[in-house]
Amino acid sequence: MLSSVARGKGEPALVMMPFLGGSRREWGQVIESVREQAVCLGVDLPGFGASRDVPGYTVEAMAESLMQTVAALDLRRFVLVGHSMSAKVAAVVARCAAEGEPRVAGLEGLVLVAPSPPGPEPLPDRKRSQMISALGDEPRTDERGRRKDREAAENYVRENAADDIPAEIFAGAVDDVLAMNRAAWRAWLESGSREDWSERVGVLRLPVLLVAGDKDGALGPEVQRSVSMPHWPNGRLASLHSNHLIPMEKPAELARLILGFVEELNGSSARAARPDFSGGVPVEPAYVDLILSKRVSVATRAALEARTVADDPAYEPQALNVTELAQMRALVDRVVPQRGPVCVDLGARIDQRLGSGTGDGWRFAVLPEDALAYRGGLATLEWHAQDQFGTGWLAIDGEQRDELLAKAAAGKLERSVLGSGLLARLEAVVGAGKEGGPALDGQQMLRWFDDVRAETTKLYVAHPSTLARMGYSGIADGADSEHQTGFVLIGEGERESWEPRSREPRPKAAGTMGTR
Amino acid sequence: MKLEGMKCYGTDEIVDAVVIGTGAGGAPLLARLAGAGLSVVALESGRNWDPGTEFATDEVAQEALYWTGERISAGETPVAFGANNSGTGVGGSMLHWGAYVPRVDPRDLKIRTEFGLSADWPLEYEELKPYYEELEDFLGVSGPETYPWEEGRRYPLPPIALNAPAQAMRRGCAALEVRTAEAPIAAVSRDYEKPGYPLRHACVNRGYCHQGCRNGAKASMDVTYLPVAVGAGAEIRAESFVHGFERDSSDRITAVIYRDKDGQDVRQRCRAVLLCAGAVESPRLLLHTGLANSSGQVGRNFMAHVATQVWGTFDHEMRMNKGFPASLITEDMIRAKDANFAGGYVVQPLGVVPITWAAQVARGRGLWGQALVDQIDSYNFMAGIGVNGDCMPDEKNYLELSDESDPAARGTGMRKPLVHYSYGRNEQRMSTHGENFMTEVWKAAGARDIWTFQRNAHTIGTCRMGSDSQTNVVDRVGRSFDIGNLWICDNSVFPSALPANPALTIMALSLRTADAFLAEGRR
Repeated sequence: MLSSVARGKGEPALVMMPFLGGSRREWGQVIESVREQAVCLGVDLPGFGASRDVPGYTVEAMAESLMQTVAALDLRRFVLVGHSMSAKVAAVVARCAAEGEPRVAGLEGLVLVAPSPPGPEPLPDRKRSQMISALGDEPRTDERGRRKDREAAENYVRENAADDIPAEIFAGAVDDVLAMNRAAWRAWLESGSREDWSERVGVLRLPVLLVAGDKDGALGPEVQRSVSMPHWPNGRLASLHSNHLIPMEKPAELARLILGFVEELNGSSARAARPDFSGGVPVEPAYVDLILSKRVSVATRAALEARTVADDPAYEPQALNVTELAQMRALVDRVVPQRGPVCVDLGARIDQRLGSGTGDGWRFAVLPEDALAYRGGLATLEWHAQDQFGTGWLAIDGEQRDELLAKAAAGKLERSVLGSGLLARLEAVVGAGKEGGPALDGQQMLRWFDDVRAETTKLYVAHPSTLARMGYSGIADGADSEHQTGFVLIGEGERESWEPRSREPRPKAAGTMGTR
Repeated sequence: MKLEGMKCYGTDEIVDAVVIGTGAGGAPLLARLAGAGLSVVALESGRNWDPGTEFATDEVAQEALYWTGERISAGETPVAFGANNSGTGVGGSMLHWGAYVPRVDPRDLKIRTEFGLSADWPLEYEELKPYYEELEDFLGVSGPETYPWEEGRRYPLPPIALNAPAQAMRRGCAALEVRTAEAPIAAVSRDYEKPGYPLRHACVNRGYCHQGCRNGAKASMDVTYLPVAVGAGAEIRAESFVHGFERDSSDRITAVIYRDKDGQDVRQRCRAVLLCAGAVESPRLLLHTGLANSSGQVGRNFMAHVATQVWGTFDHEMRMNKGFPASLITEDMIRAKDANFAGGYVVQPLGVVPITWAAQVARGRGLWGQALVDQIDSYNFMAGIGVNGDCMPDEKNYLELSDESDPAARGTGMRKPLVHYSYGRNEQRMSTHGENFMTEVWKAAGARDIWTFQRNAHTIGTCRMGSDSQTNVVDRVGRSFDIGNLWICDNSVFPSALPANPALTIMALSLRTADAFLAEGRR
């Protein structure tokens, strides 16, 4: 686990990481400027700062340590802010997130400051060996106890900073360099900076702010445009008058850029992260929070989101005709009355299923194939409405519809009760070949209405707004966490503190339509 | 499961055996045959899964584990398929099985001798017992310290935690002086490891066992026998739908024809075939190809367990989705004192996830309108209890090919199966007995608004095993009477339904058939 310290409040969290040899201390001034808007988590990478004794210096190992750390911090939404070396690690983690790595599912964007690119860093070999010989060995002291390599550390920081930086900031950076694990320094220069991750990172869609210093000889704006930006189609390149140590050289300007980026993310997350939950039938906000939390696995969240997509008010039926769709909607409204301002269009969803030709793996032998059975069932309701009430299924009221449905459920909606004149007339209208299904007899109507109730109910309960009503906790089993959390309190009357509340059960409902 | 790097055989290579299906019938024998050094190829119609990342905690998403090619259900008590009684994928329907693993009661193997009904099994309990013990150890069955209905039975792992429905059933049964025990469950209550498969983590009470276990706690075939088989050199070909055989002049099968995922027919040469596709697909394939049916018994003796459920509302929260869906058992009704029927049933508590449960309320309780919405809103207060009861074979219950072409059969022209099933008098009486008993238990447990849901479960029979070639499809170890190198092993060979849930016994038969197959090879 990497050492980290949190300051401030607000989302998304900013996970800030240092350059080669530095520690989170380099971010101190930036943090002071942004902490009111977003919580800042300074993290030290393996071998540096307070993580001096953490092993694992390859890019992959650093990315893994970072993901473990981020997972432990339990951040709902966060941005990785990487500087130079750590920006390469951030890019690798972004690829993992894009591939569904659950520990970093909350990653919303990257801020890359003078980043070392995903591919090999363009550092001349001479410079590389010079740096290794200057600071690559274990520290020695001279006869007066003075660190012999202090001068080398001062040179390193000075060479990378164009502007004069305040003396205490400079001293802090030098102290960090001196305190680092020399093996980590060598590892980065000898191999980490040379590792080629460009293909693996590939092209990623997430929002990226890339900041480069125009006095940075090795990793300035032009270099970034050619080696870094191709990875970030939704990235923005900003340039500051600075050398390589931008967080210490230009903290106020960098903080402003970061705040702007956070604001954009918050704006787009309000628009993008939740539209599927607010566009259709509204889901209780607390339940949306649960769905978006880590307790719900990525695969589960995707399944729930797919069903919350708003129904198209102008939905064109695929298996039924327009009249049949209206009849179907009137029927499912009797099966599952929805009283909200927006309702799940269960009739359209059934039609969609019928149109897709898929089913649940079986059907009653007394019924024809599903689409025909549904059309026939609706036609039969229409005929009996005409017969009994002198007007069609769409014109009769709810009680009258229930009266017919009670007969259907009892197997009593017999064809024989229809007057022969009516039958002939309706067969001429409805059953004239291309329109309408065959009339169903009493036993068929009984089975068909069984199927309609089951299918309507499944579609209704599957919608997250219904699961929320039910206070259903089963979706939140923490199945993506390393040791899947599941449930501990499972006995009678037991409830985990975070489980949604239940409604109290009503007394045995009046007007039960039970028939069997 | 991990299939990368497995051994692969050429389709022109004559492999020792082709196994059709990778569920409870196919997986154990696949591992056994591969372990004995045989070259074996398993053909599985479904796809391969990575449960750790691909399984959602969601009933709709997990419908992909069900066999959704349409089956047509006729009769007075039609059988539901799809989510019920079927599966597809590497691991078969064991991907979503309930892992409830009682052994058979020895009396039920001799039901005809005892009652003059149904059929005796052509084997003794003592023959199955070592296989049961081997399975319980290998799969990691969790169970009670002592088993009230069999002396000396021990399980390798302590019981799975009782959830709310189980606690209610224990309380209700205790009030009626009916014995209960923690159920034998093929899911590990602690981390568990056996040679040949990776470590399986303890059950975390997620409750989605019937939608696919995510962490390998449940002993599905893809985390137990199939890794062992692949490790021993078996090849598993997913998305391979078998629809034909080639035979030589002496009627022995020389090759299996299957349609692969690209719609191409592939011919795998082989010395023997073990058909393990379940009690619907096995007979369908035989009827489609016209094989192994000189007795006319293929498809006959179709059985389904009496699986009546009783539901009630409790005053406190049950939240029945949490924990193992059924974690308690009583076998006291295997021979109920006041029974007016042959055979008996086991009883288990029920936790059912919400979409399945609500559809059941709508379908089975006949509710709609506000009454239905109110029931659904009270989900967290519901719990059920159910039986799994024996079923007598009957002439009027059978599987045949319908005259409708099956679009799910990938253009092979195979027709949809048509299954006729009606309860006889014995099933009706048993169901009524179970309903009355469970209603009393639920009342004693404090439930109110109690109601009954009629259903049946598990598909059994259709390729019966026995000693007489005139009335059976396979002999007492599973070999076809007609075709010397065709063996069948799944729930289709059961001579009677048995009240115990079938998977453990299917697996025991699978190991037994494998041993018989190997013994024959040595002769």
